[in-house]
Amino acid sequence: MMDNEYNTQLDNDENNLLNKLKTIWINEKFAPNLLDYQNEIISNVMEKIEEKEALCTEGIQNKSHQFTADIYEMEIERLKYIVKCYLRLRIKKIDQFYTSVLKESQSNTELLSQHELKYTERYKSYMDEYFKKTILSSLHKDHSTMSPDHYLEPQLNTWVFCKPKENLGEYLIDEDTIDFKKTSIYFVKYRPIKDLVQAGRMDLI
Amino acid sequence: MFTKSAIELVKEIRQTDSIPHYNDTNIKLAINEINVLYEELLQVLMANGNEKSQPYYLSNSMTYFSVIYRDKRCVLAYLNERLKRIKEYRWSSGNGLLPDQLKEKLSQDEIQFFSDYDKNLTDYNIKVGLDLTVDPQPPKDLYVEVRVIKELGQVVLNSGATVTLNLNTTHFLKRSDVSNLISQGSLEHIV
Amino acid sequence: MSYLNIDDILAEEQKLSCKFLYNAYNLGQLEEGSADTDIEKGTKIDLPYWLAYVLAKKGLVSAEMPTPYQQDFKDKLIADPNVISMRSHQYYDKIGTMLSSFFSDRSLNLLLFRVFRDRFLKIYNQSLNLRETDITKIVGNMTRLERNIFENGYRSSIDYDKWRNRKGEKIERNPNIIFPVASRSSSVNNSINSNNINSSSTQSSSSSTQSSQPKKDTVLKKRKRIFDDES
Repeated sequence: MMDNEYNTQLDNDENNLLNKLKTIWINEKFAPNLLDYQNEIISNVMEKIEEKEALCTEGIQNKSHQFTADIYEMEIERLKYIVKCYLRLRIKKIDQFYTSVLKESQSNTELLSQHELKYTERYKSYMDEYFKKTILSSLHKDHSTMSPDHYLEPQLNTWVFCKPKENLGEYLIDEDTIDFKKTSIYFVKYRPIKDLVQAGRMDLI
Repeated sequence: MFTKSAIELVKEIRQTDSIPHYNDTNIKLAINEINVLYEELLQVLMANGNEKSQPYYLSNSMTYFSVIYRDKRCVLAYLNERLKRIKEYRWSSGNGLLPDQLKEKLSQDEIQFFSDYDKNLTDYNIKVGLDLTVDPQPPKDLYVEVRVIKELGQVVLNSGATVTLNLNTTHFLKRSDVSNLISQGSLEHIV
Repeated sequence: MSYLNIDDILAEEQKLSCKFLYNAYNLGQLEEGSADTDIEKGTKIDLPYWLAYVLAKKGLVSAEMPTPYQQDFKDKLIADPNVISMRSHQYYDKIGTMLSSFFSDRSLNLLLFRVFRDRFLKIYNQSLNLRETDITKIVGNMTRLERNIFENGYRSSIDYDKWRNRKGEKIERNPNIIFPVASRSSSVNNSINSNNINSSSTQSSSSSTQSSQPKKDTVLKKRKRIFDDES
């Protein structure tokens, strides 16, 4: 289990996965709207965590592997920390923008994880019920609903720093043509590059 | 004056970052104003079929419409801001318990909402197998040194290790085992 | 503008002096101290922006630019943007941009931008350098928007200090956690078995009662911040 060749192979895969995890976390952090749930990456990471936890348990049983087990545990803690941050950011955005999130999730099944979808639906029903009980049900039927534009929407016109993952060529951004190069960092409005971020061709930083 | 009680609600919630007493009185007054004005508005519109778009009546109906819209918006914003702070409390405390000092400031519906919100979030945490509300700091060291500031006696930690945590003793323990006990105030992290 | 935003709502409370261009049915109560039911054509009344806007768009009233946006105040402001206190103009910038488009006054927008830019530099610097000072007075002279910027900078400068002094690694007691007797066992729930609870509670009753009592008080004080009304 501890032989060198295997370890190097493992390291490369893991570094890759860790980098991907970091990227989706940072993108989610700087994007004003909710991005698609990165199911593949998160389930891979969760698998890795389980694998390592199993190795740790072995390590505890075998005193000679205690040191290795500690190092694995450290890695588990770090992975878990980033996953937590990522999921937490998403739940906070869902709490804020739940109506537009639910609406978008009807046409975009990638937007939410299965658990997030359940969370959002329940959250919406609690919010709706609360406003109904406290005020809306006491009003004339002409006023007893919230109109869609009363809910909070993400600010897509905000400015972001971004870095293309590859040479993307020219894009028309607010009447200016920008030639997105892999080697450069740009400060632009989020709305026009939103789809590039979503498609994984541009990272936010 | 129109919208007085409604705008007071908004001013009240802006004055503090904490959660003030639920202002039931002003909410009821605002709701009442909406209903009374709307009743009048409908009557005026009905009684003056042909003249209702004349400036004399139009000034009246436009004002009433605006006041109703404004009242409703203020009350909803007030309620929503309170919910926002109640949700923040759930995240920062890391559990679903409401202390009495906070509870007495909330309405029954808010207490209900807090418990619904807590349940939903807890269910989600269980499903993903991670508590998103605990330990927001990046892990640096696997082990940390701690001093016991509340007697705990013998404790079996998550990792399976058994340790005796007597008052004022110090220990070198796994971070993940003790971070909960530190944020609850049983242990103190020595740096 | 967002429907549920507290600051957007408060900004729109800005009063505008309005002249009614027609008689208006049953609006007497808009006029302070008036016993009439109707408003007479030509009457001047201060109306909040949200109402003045609607009535003016329908041509029912004519509205005037509020005093803080008239030449006198603008002159003072532009002379030295940094000395003017915004204590009584908390939403000067926010409602200012709305007024600028309402009155189609582009010069007001430009002025707001210049003032904001000048004040921003000072506020930005203050936010990063005033960690040891009492900031309540400084913050009181800012608009809400400026204050948000200041507080963001202030917080990150404190975080930066913590990081530099390696304090960020310290796990702190969370002042928000309420600590009923039950939660000690529930917190380590699956880890304390029943025998241990017994042994720990007997031990603690003798040795820790004295020393844990004053602790409780400081805990309460710490927590109070969260629940206190500032009013």
